[in-house]
Amino acid sequence: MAEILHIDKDEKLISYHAYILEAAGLHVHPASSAQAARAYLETARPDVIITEASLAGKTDGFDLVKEINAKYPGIPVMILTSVYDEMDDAWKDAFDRDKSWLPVYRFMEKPVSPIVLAEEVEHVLEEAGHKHA
Amino acid sequence: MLNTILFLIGFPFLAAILVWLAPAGKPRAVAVRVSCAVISAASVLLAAGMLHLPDQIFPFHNGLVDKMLFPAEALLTVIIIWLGIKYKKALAPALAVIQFLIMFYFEMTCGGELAPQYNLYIDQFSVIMALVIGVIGSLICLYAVSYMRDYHRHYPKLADRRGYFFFVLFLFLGAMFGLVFSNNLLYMFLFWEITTLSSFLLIGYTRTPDAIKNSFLALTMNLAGGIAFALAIVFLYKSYGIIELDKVVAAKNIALLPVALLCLAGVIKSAQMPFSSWLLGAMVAPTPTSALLHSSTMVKAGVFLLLKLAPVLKSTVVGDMLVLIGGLTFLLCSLINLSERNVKKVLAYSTVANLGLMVACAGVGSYEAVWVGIMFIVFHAVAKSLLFLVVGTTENRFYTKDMENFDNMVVKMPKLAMLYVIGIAGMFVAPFGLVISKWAAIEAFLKIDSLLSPILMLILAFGSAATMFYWTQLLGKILSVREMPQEEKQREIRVGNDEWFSEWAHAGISIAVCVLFPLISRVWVEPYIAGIYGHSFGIGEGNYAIMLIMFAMLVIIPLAILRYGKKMKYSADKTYVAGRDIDENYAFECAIDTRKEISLKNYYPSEFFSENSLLKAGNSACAVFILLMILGEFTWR
Repeated sequence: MAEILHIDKDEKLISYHAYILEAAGLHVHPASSAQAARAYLETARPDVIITEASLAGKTDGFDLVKEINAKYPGIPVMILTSVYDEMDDAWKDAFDRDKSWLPVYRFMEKPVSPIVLAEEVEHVLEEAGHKHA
Repeated sequence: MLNTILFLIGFPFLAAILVWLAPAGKPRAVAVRVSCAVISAASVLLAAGMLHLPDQIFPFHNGLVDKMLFPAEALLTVIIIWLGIKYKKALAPALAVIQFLIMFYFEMTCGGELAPQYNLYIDQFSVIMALVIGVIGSLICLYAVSYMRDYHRHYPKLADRRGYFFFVLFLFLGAMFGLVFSNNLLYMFLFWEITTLSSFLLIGYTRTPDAIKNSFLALTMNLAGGIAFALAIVFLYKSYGIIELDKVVAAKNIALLPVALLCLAGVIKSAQMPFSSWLLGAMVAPTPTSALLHSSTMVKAGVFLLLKLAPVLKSTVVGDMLVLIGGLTFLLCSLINLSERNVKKVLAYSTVANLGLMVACAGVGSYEAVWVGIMFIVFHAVAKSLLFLVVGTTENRFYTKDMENFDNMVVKMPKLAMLYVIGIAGMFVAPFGLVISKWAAIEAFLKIDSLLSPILMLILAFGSAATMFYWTQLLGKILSVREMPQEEKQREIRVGNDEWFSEWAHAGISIAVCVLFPLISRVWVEPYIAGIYGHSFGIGEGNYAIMLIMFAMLVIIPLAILRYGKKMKYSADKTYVAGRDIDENYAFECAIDTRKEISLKNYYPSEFFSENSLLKAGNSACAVFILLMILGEFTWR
């Protein structure tokens, strides 16, 4: 069973997603902050990480992603966020031009149906060459 | 007139280079918008200029162009060989080399003596094609601006090669214009091959293993079609000294073999069975590609050639085989669609099915049938392109192509749902296009004087029933409303302006084509047919009143959908289920205390209409028909 680390300050959302993800055979470990995620990563290696881009600050999720990519390069990361709506055009343009600064497998905007989320996790597992997929 | 034609062929090539070189972001978006505006304006201008003119042929002898023709083909071959080596594929380069050798042989033996009278040609049919390419094509390019931005945001890992993407799109538009205006078969062949190459490059855009595999599948099949085309040219010139399309059409007692070879090329291009798999595979490409190349324009090039040849095909074995291939493809692909839940595949199979009907019309070859075929091209191009575009928008918001996830679309995105309804209505509800054409098809098929007539009627009846069924499946999913958790509420934002503009323009054109359909028929289609057959065909005057009433209904129903978005109050009734309800309509208690989720699903009868078995049956039957078509010369006549 593939392990997912799901990082979002909205715990209700995680449990809502988890219900369907678990039914699809994916085990969800919730983390409501960057610290909780870091602590979890000290002890375990999830197969996929899903994270919001704004955790405590507005864009600190991006910093967390960079940190994870540097420290645990094998783990695929997906961003599931509502931050894009709040960004200004300059930032969007910068993001549009160059995505290399943030190597994630998917950038998804909320809301996403949990069934679709489960499918996308499967795809990412496949792309990352994971055996569970 | 000639200048407009040359501009339409040449400008997209310039625009292609311009958008490639333009810096990413705003400058490129502006370059694409301006180019699209210019191309669509020029094609409308051309159509306006042709309003009261009959067909025209232009000598257009240009030494430079004639000298460039062969090197351009050589360049295409080199590109294909290079890509074949890069991705370690042998078959496609081998076919490209064979094709090149045929043309090389032709150039060596006949190159010097070629003296085509008229190289370019325009008639009402090519005007219609030019409008489809110019207006629908540039709207799709415009749509691609914001679609591709969202696409690359969703998949940050993919290499962003948007400049190249737009380069190929515009290159393709230029080639399409060239194809429909060419009278010299050598010109047509070159443009034909450019469309094959651009289709291949766009399918492989993402460079994922899947994309590479499918792009080579499409390339291989279409190159095989190219070989048939090349052989036909050599045969026609060597035996009859003919190198122009209008002379082929006008020739009396021409051998069937070269015509059959041209038809084979057309059948492959329009993805008929047994070649339909390339178009299904092509769906891995980003959606604007599917809308532009694989539904509204490139696949129509095959049908365009077949319909041009229609007068020659009438009551020949080649025509009869085309009727069977097209008819069977229509029937089987419609049936396969019953068990398909990936929306893009539904659209792809429906495209193949409708192309099948057009091919069958060309095979029948009577003036009624050609009328139907041309009307089909118009209606199908608009409605299918609209559907592809809205599916693309859905994909970028919902991140899925599975129609089972389209629940509550009408609440989450009411405007998009309305566009869906208009598109689907265009595909199957009267008075929107396809029904008119099908109705006329019945009339045309009834007049065939052979056993084919009852066969075609049966095919049309059962195929249309299946068509109705699968569109309703999709429509039902979009319009169904269920209670949904707060977490899933969607707002209709983040859809780019280019995307909205393009989609609403498509919707407007769909409705306009419906309202103006008698006019289109009278101004363009009927004169074209009268010019070839001496008499023409039109739908009776009495039907217009009914059409107008139904049109009014179809505008009112989509408008009613908008109300869903405005906090419309609807009460959910309790569903009766085989157990005690747990939390209001989401789940119920099953035997031994188990919890069962309630879900609302379409029925996909895949055990009866499975893709594999139907494809296998259809492919083998159509392969036999193709063989008979090629051997037609030596069988009965």
